[in-house]
Amino acid sequence: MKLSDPYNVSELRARAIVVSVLFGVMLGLLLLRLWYLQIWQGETYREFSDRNRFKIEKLSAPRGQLLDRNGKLLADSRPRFDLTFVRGNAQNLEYELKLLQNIFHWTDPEFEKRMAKITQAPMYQAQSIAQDLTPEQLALVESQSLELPAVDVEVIAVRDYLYEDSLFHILGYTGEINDRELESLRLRFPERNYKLGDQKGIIGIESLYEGFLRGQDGRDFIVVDVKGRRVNQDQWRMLPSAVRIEPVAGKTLQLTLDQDLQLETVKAFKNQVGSAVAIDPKTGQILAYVSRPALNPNIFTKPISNSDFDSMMKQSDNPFLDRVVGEHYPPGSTLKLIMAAAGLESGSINPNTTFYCPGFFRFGNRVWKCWKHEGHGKMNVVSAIARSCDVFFYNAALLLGLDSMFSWSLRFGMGRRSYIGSEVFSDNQSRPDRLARFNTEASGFIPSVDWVLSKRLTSVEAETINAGIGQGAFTTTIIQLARMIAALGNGGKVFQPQLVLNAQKPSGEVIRNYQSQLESHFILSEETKKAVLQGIEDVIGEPQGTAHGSRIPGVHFGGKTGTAQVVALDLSKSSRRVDYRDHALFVGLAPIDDPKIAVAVIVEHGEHGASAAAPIAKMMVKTYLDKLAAEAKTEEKPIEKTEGKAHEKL
Amino acid sequence: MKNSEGSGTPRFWSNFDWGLFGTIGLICFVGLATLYSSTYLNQRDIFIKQIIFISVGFGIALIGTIIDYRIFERLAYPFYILVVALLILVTLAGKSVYGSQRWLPLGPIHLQPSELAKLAIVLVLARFYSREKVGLMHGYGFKELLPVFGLVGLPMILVFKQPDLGTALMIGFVAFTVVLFCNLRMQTLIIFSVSVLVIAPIAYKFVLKEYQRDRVRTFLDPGRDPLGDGYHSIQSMITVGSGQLMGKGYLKGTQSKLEFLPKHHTDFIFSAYAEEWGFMGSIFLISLFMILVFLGIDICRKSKDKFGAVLAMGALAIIIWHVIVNMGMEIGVLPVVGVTLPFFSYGGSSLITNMLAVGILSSVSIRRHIF
Repeated sequence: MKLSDPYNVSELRARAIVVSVLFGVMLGLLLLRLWYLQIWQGETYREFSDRNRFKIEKLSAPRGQLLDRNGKLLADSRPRFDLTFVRGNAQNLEYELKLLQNIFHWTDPEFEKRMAKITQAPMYQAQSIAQDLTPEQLALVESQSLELPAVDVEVIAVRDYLYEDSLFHILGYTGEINDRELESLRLRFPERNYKLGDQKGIIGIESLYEGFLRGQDGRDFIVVDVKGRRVNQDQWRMLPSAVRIEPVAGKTLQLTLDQDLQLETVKAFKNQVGSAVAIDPKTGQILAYVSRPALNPNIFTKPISNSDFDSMMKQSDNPFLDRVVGEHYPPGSTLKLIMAAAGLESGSINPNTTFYCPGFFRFGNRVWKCWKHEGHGKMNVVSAIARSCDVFFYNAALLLGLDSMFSWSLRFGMGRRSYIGSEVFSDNQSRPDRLARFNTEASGFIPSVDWVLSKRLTSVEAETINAGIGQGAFTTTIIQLARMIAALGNGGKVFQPQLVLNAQKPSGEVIRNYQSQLESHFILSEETKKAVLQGIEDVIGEPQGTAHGSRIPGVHFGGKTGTAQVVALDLSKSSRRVDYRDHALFVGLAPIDDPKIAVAVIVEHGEHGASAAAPIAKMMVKTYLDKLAAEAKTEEKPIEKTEGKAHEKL
Repeated sequence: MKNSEGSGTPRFWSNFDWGLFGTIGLICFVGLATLYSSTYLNQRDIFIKQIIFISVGFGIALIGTIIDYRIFERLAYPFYILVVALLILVTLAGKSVYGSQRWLPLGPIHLQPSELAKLAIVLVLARFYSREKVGLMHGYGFKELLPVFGLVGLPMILVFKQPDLGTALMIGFVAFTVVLFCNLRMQTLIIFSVSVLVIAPIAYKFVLKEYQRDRVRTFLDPGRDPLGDGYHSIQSMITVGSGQLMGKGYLKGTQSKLEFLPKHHTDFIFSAYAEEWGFMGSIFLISLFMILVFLGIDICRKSKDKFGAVLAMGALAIIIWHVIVNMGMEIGVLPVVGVTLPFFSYGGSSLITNMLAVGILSSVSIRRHIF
């Protein structure tokens, strides 16, 4: 191998000295700086490291408040005090734990469990050993803090639900983020800064509007001495300016719910299983949203053991199920309203069309019964709605045809998700949150000719006859039924139901108002409207109407009863099993000529719509209309006064 | 090539640079002891892994010694092109760690091309200057430096884009040292320094990313955000300072044990050392690196050809600039840019780069008597 230009090397030798001087000076400067830090300032720094311990304190941000439509507080934030234990700070680990055992009255196994948790943890990692201390416990711990150097009290903001289980499914609940979820949450929402143990909304509004409700945690840099006592910050001259970052509370959401109506509805359910929802037909706002049974969301603000959670999940009445949007039911006779409107609009029947009801209906070699064995006699569309004659609608359905039923049901908003609560995301073009359906909303199902032919379970005609009275493959959700009756009352407007009136700053200043999204709008002829509305009025108003018992004096209250079969008819009649009993349904509208409230109610295994579901609907309508009347009265008189008050509030 | 330089021969061992290897061995030993102190409470496996890394590293340095460095003269440009290609590849297909693309997964090994880039720059500059005939008498002006700017600038920009500010600066420092060594004209040096001073604030504003600007701001005022970026710097200074003259004693450093000092086994390991051994320890360690500088310069001066001299200078520059920048950031005179302390910080990648540099120095050293 050849040497490269060896004769010039001598020139480089002198240059090498230049570089060695450069390096030497640099290293010398480092040594000078080290002398400054370790000798000149050494004592000061030694003090910092000897006497002081620095700690970053998390300042937990409260979640946004939830208010009802009148500004009544539904869910608030409260501080939760937890105890943490740092093994490395303990002087006598066992002694300190024994002291705590006396305060908290742990049993020996509970004590051992904590002991194991602490001794297995890394030296200086804080371990949570007690949550949600009572003021008494807190006072006891504070009073002995000198003997408990390893113990620290942590404050985090958690939810406080003011009305226990009455708003469980609509508001949802919050719980701690575990390590399994953390990674995926961080990836999906990097801007939210999720940390282990943070609170997060799990179902309902808490989950859907997590991005609004979640606050931003703050932090403080505090100096504590070896015993864990706080040292005056002024002594630490290295912090020239304030270093505290204040937590930012989440946004307050004012909901469309009316809490008085909500509570009355819950009360009306007693111990029955089912759900009810009330919508303002003109605006599409949800006024009440009840699903029973429900749980008290406050129990989830503390870490909950897996076995407790599993036993709740396994409860036979499934309290986690949202029966307003999350469960399919056959619409039963409530569907007759769509059948009637569709028949009249398409011309397959007219207001004067009559069918004779002998109590049964024969088609081919099969017989369909009317719920009334002795038969209704001659029926037109109005009386058939009022008395819920099945035979009339078997005939009407056959005349109408399955595909025509299909398209009319779609117009009334059946067979698809209502996308309740999506008004908040309406201007977000990519709408990622729409993928997260409210409480995993179900879509329902409308049978079509194609579907029947592809399945071959039954003939098209049989499916058509069944669909005429809302049985067969037809399924719906309770929110769809409420949307349907609301559309009947408001002239064909199908809304995506609205949950949030406005978002506010924690101070109460409104950031943005929301409006429900009009999903579709269909027009019914005056004749059709008149006939169907007369029908629902007679359901309650006429002595022979199926829900005459639920009339409200002085109120134009209309509705339709329904019975959703759980098992085949003869089986439910012959068996005494409660879970074979039919579901009771009721949809209602009031006042009919100027609708202010539309309701849909189901009572599972309640058997008869008139006796089980209609009274609940009546209670809801009455409560809400009475309240509106009372408000109108107070508003009429002292107008100036209330205005003044409103300003004061702002 | 003469055959007498093969490893088994007595000539090899008599020419072997025992002083260089002894110094490196001593630094590694002190480093390992510090690493043990930093990790024995929580992460013992790190210490064991580092022993393995160091053993492998010495093996690499020995292999480097055996290989005649002159072979690199031919390989310089191909290697340089390969590294640039890898840097482009890592930007396209690299593994992302903490938001920057630095690693190229190759089966079980993760290759970090930016580490290789430091070596590639040294090789390619040595090759460039060894064949350069002009300018030596008068020094280099800007015109002569243009190709050098191209050679250095390309990998620097690629590394910077990853983004890895620390390594990009390191490449720049090493290249600067080599150019300075190869007779930079005084006038050029002054113009160069002035233009850096002018360009720096512009680059700060338009080229650096937000988090990089943050580091610079934090360096200028560590109290600005003592919980975030300033935290490292402040805690590190407290750790070093609290060592005072004699230190707190081995295994007795509180700052690192109580985990007030972050990254106390990687980027901030010198602080942990200085806390336990005090100013005396600092003098000792800096003296060791000072000895390394003299040994390296000596190898460089004794080289019989220009290529070897420039190569040795580059290899020395890689090690020493790491020392200067790392210590500088640990004692609060340089921004925190994530540069490791050679032979001290835990981690295989940087250790292997540094051991390759030792191998180059040693290879040049052992062939000083070839005439």
